[in-house]
Amino acid sequence: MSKLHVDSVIKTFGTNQVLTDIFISCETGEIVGLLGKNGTGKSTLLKIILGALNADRKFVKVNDKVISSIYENRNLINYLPQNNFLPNHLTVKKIISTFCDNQNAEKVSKHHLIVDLLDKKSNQLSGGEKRIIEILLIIYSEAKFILIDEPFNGVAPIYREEIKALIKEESKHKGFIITDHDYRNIIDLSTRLVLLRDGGTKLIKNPKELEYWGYIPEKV
Amino acid sequence: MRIVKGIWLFYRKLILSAVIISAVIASLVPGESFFLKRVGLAYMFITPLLHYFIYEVRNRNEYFFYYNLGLSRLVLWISTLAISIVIGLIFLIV
Repeated sequence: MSKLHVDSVIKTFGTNQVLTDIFISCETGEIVGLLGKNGTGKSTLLKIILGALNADRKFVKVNDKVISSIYENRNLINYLPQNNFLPNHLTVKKIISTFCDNQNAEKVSKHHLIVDLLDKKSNQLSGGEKRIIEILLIIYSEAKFILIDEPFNGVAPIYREEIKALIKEESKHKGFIITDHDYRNIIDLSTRLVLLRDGGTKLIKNPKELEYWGYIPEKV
Repeated sequence: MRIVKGIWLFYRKLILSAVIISAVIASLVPGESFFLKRVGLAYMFITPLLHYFIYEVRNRNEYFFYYNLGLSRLVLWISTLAISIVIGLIFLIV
């Protein structure tokens, strides 16, 4: 079993300290649902864990390996950002073969939602098609820990259940930290819930607590 | 291997535009000799500008694809500069 350990994360934008000494962890086999209102720093936190954004202070560790750069993250932590990230000059087939190892590339390429898109370039795809490809790439990447930012954004409801099932299946040997404003899907998917509020994390033991903390309206 | 492939795929997007723009600039400079040398010199300066325009301004989110391969923004910038200088020097030497 592997463990991602993140603590002491502090991030300030101007005079606004968005993240104040954050602690979050994830083990393989876990799906951690990260919830929080707009502007609480969910995406910022995930980018800091990846190493794409500098923090004022941070400590990230996978097992005994301290991670201080993106290079050290390779094959350990991958991140799906909110917006499409596929290079628009490459075909889907090329993107898949670059991103995944041979075994996983075959799984992604043969997926029924992808198979007809293989020879298209990313700029010929719709936003939803790009999103599905990105989700599959990230889920089937070699990384032990996957950070997913708003995976259901732009994805048709009929495919959401399928994506959730894939995440659950892959979580048997990977750890996921997942955030989305579609909190019902996150609650349904997660093995543990964490709320980001006032710059800190709060462990949510019962979804009812989300009402207490003002994340969802009462009696939803 | 994936790191090298990532750098190549990142850089590949710049090459065609950089060569065309460099050739146009080189042809605008008066004089009939040393055309390739002028292309090489222009290429060394144009490619980083294209890198900035294409990746920093227009497709900033594409960086995340390369981050996930283990390539930081700094490494990608250094790669662009290094490869461009090498290609530019080849034009200058030929």
